[in-house]
Amino acid sequence: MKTRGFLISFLALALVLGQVLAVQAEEKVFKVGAALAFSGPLAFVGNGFRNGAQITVDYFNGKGGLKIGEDSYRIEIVDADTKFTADGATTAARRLVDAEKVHMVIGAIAGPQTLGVLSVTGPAKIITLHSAGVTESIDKKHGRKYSFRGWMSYDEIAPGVFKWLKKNRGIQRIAMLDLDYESSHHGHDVVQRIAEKLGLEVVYDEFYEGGTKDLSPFLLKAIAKKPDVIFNTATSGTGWGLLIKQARELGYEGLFAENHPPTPKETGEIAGMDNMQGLIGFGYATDGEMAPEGMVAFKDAYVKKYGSWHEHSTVLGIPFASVLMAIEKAGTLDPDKIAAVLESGAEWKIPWGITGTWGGAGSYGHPHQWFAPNYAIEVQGEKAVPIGVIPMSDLLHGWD
Amino acid sequence: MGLEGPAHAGGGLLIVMFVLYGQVVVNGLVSGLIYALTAAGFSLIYGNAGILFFAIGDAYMLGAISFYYLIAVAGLPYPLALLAVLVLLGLLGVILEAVIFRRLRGNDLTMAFASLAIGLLMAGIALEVFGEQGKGLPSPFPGRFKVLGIMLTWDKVVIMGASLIILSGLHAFFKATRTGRAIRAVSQDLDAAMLMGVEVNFIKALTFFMALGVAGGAGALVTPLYYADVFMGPPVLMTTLIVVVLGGLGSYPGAVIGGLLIGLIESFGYTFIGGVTTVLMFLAVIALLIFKPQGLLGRE
Amino acid sequence: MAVNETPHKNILFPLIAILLLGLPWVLQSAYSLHLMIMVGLMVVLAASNRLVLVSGAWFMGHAAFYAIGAYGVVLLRSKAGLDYWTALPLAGLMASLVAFVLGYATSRVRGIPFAIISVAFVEVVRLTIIKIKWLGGHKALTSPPPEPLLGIDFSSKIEYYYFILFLVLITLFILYLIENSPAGAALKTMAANEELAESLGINTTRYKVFTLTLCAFFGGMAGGFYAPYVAVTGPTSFTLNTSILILFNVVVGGMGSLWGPVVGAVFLTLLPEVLPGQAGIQNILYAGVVLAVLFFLPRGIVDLPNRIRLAAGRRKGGKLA
Repeated sequence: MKTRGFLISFLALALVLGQVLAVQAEEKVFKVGAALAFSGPLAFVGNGFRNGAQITVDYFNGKGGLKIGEDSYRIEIVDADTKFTADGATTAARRLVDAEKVHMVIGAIAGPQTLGVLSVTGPAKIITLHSAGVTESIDKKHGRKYSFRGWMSYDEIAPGVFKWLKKNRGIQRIAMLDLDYESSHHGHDVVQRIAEKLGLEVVYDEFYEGGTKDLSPFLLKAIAKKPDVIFNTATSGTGWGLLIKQARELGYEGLFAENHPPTPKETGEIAGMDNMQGLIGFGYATDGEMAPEGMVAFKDAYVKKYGSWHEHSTVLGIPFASVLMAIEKAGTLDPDKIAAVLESGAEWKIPWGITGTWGGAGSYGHPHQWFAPNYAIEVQGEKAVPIGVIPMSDLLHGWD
Repeated sequence: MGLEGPAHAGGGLLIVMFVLYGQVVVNGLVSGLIYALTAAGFSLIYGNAGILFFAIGDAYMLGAISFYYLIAVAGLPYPLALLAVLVLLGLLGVILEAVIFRRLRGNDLTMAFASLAIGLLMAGIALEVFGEQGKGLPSPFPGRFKVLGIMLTWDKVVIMGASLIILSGLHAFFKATRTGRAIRAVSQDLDAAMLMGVEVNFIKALTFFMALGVAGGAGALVTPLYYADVFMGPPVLMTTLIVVVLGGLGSYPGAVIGGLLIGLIESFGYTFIGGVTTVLMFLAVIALLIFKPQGLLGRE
Repeated sequence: MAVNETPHKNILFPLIAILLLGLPWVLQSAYSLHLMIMVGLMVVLAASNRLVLVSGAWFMGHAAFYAIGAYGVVLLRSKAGLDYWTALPLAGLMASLVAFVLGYATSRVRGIPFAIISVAFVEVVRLTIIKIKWLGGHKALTSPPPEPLLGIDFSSKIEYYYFILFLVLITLFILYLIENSPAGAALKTMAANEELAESLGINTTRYKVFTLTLCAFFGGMAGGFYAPYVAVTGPTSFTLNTSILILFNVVVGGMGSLWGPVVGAVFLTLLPEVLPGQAGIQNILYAGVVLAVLFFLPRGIVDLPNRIRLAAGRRKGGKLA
């Protein structure tokens, strides 16, 4: 009997909480929701993505805000942790869209989470900028009218990467060992395809279960096949570091390469700086002679604000500038008009000194893929130094 | 890893097989000894206090993290740091026993849940203090060498050695000292032990001290080999449960043998069958428990 | 206790009913409604899990049935072309079938070995989904909303809310009937002393299988609700942690009464929303709260009124009011 009264009080509590959590705040603010992993092993990446976006936001706010028509909007980023799971992402997106009423979303990092986010932002017509490698996240077949991929996935980058590796490092035999995860499976498939196209040989192709620390059983077999390069498709810094360390300990002396900018400090923490030397990654150039001034400025601004450089901060932070420029050009908050501007095929010379474009109509049915200059980056000492550039033609037409 | 040796068919193949199998065995022993340590800890607590200490994985994790701090930040030499971890985690165990488990009223389920909550608490604290990033240590004993073609590193040798020392230490303690025998007495029959005047609270505190110390030590040992991060706990808990099931709950020798067995099975499985090994192991555990609930080596 | 309580009882019931039925309009924000839907989902899961616990079996594998239900619905719709309303009960039955087999296979196993089997079971289901590409592998499978039922479109949360409310009521109702039936008494006897129960002629095996199967059905239905509501279904949502979370809801709410899971679900689902800070602090506070409940309210939050009464009674000078 008393428990009934008790239940009432609980429902009352729920009610109160419901009101408390209901939305407030209505100013001239352009809210950007960040649906990223802020907890768990990928928090490093999530934070980097978000902080990089913040640098771009600071730039726009610094010159008076986002100018849409006659109004100036102060841009604000609101965080929502996806916990790197699909349903966590859906909940995060729900909070951003329903409670925070954001105008745009950046995130998520990988396929499952991004699909979760898109299931909410799609129907709500919220422009979403993400880095998910899965085709389903941006192809027209699945709708995705408001979904834009800011990071060149395997499909875009593999031809350029492997052509460069073949020409400049003479690789012929490829070994791949990755965490068993959707993005890595996709990555392996793409590498298999490009290997066939370029006449390279994949000598080892395996996945290991999350939580496995002892990779020596796998590495033994891989190294025995005498690969020229061990290629990382989607494993995070610590896993990759462990792999590098153990491979070297087992006697591997060849090349390590990955599809992302190398993170010498983070990966080197685990792998040992010595073992990292000569590792090749691919991404934007923010250092050295090859880097455009604007990119160096981005890096300096980032280091000034956050204390140390984060190699992944450019992933969404750079294309984000293009999206904001498109919103200004469209002169409206109407997502359909913004999408149309982004799809117009224009070149976007962003404040950070590089020129990119939204393409991929051939592969995805509409041009929602960001293309920008990509560099081969080598670990030298404790730094990651750009040493070569991937030609735009390889990026845009690599599979032809 | 070169394949030195006679190149002609039969002999060459034999050597390759020997080296490969040998390598797999060595890897299996290293991880097996680590599992033996955590399983010993878990079994100790279960045997003496009847508690399913689900936070054993997180104790392992805390051992790894404190070891990292002791070496990288405090600059302690390796043996001292290891000893410090054993003691620190041991003290944590004593505190947990005195503050939580001794005071908690309720049945076994409550205790198990308290363990789960404690694990969550430990992981949360570790996350706040350590952050999400995994951190590695430079190799304390650098250098690798070959024994009969099998590649070994000094790090691995030290891990195996230290684990064996800890395990035999425990074994000797149980066999030879009065307190050790008292612990075994409590685990076998609490009432009889009490009648014989065994100071049960002290025994329980000691049990928790040893259990968490050993689990933390295991975490410390692997840190230079892999890395320390706050997420290490749950997979280790999973494997510990399998080991304990295999060896029989509450059995110390069972934990050790089970640990080694699982380490070897995992090593062979991952090398020759691949990722499917994990599923197969779990299925095997289920099957085993259906037919022999007391475990492979356990007694009813 | 009886005489004073009855008038209250007559008012409380309709009041609660009106509140529940009108909730979408009382709560202003869509996000709050989402939270209440998640509460409802957890009630179904926790209440069904509790049934097995009440019979004395330490079952920690509920996430597996949840997964089978979710994946069942997704795959039956995408591969077999069934519509949602056919797929849903079928998915529940699939989970029940698995439970049936598991129950019989493990009928001789009790206590801790059974608990460990249930832990292994969750992992086996999860890893099987990951390893068999046809089942989805690592992918997050998308689910379209359910087809309209009786003309009702599932386009907004409001429809989902009434759906889960309906599921909650049915689940609680059936569980209530079972607990207050001779079967319920048999289960409690089994929990107290299995050998005694056997000697009294209770076929413990059959009861074990029965509770597990029924528990799985509701768990599967919860999964079937979950799939289109969250729209993406992936293996990461069905881990051991998920099972543990469900159990937390039962234990913190209180295992002794059917209201336990309800109270526990409301409390633990809303708790993280009011806890400040990021993941680490949240976990610390959450764990702290659970421990506090275990310490001070070992019978769960449902016991709170009792405890308050006891404490008050003692202060009045030893006589219980």
